[in-house]
Amino acid sequence: MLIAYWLVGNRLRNSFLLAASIFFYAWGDGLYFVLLIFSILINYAFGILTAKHRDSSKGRLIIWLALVVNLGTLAWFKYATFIAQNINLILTFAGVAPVHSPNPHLPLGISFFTFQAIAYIADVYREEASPPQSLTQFALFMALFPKLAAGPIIRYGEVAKDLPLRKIDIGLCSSGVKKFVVGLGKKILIADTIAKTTGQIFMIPPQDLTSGIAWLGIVCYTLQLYFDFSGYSDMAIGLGRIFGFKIQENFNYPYIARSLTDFWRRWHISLSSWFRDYLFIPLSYALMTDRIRKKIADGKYKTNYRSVLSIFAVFTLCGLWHGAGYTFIAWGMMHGAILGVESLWLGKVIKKWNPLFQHAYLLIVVMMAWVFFRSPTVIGAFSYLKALFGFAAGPGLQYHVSLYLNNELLLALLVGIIGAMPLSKAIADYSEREPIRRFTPIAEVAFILLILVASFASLASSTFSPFIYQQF
Amino acid sequence: MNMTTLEKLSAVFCEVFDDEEIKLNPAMTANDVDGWDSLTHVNLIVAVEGKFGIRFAQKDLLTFKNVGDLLNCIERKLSEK
Repeated sequence: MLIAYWLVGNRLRNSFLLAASIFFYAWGDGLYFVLLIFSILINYAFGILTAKHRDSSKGRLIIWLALVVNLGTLAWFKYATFIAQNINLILTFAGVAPVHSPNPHLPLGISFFTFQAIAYIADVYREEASPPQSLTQFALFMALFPKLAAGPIIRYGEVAKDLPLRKIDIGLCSSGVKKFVVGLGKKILIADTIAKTTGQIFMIPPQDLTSGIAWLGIVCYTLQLYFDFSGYSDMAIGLGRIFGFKIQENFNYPYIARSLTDFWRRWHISLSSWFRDYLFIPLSYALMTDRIRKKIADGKYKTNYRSVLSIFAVFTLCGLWHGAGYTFIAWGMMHGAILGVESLWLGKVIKKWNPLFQHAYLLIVVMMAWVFFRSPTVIGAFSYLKALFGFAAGPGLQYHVSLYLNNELLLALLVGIIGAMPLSKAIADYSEREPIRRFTPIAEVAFILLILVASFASLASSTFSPFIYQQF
Repeated sequence: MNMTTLEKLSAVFCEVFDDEEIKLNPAMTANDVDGWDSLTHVNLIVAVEGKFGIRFAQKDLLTFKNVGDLLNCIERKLSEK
């Protein structure tokens, strides 16, 4: 497919890639590719209309319409069942007969391409972007298969220059290949290995857990989720480079962050920056009503509590974006609450701590929140937390830690922990040194090939597990 | 007091970020000012609007790539008054 891409002349390249992307979607999700096409067409129209009416009041109307259409579609496919279930809870409580709960299929990548479209239209409105010259280019922007299933959420500006024309750049291509293979290794060799243990531990009824097992489980999940998702992002970015697109990094060693605020500058960057630019800042600004401004002018509003409220609301919604369930909402609320407190006073306090305490704080906070992200139920999550902090009720013999520690897992965990730290710069510096330098290219190729071979060997001997984030 | 727009803006920054040492130049970005991040951006904008007696539109908020952009927008709003 790649060879065909290169052979096809520049003018046909986009159509070819677009066709391949649509095919990829249909292969993954059957007839739902029609929804993707619908989204492309309608958002292309919205983009052009918005550009035309930017400066009039019609422009605002168009934007709101675009928001309603995009979010409404997402809400239907993703949240209809959840909303119906909750309505039914209330109805049964009130003694009324429950409504029929719709159960729509969740189309592939809908959370991602919906957000991408909204960002595009907002950017056009803010004059940060102009609609592309052709529908094909816009369609390619929306449907590019590497990022279609699970992001990153690309901003139009990232690819605008490269959409019309891309020369074959061997340097970019080879960096793309390396990135892709590293991502593959992260996912297959590290994440999938650890996932086996995580799965086993989270299937144990939480009230039967022992402290040791609970800790092993959450440490495993913490590493698994990072390597799965960052691995997937690396593959998407790598493939993008091979096709001539420069997509931005989605992760920046999140687990070395020293505050939760810093964590979100490093984890799922394309999503957190989306929430910042398209929800948090507009919302915080809108909350600054004339009444509040008067208070500020009079010196009676020293702390911006509305901003804090905004953080909490945005992260609760971020939780909801991840899944139609109370565990995800709880996860979001936890992050929102702690981020709010950090912005109020905790952040300044933490800044003065010893780095060891900063890292410990971050890791504990993040891991406790992941318990909610992974647990099937909120109550289960609380039981899990109880087990973590030593109030385990579990019979020590039945589920003993040593039962779960095998060499494969330990190796994956070790590599994972080391890999979560930014060692590449240190390695890069080391490899520049004189006697080593001659071997660096060969070492690099050997390393990449090793990962590739090991990944395929691993894939061949097990069933293919879908990327965790694909369910979003 | 007849201050230039840049000087007036610097004063706002000093107040919002609690730092008397801040001296702005048009090329500066959020990376160059300690404490200026997405969480404090709105506070800064509201303070700027209050000090200059202007109001930005929602769509302007994120178009400021650096201090220079912010200055240009302020001057534009001032001339529209």
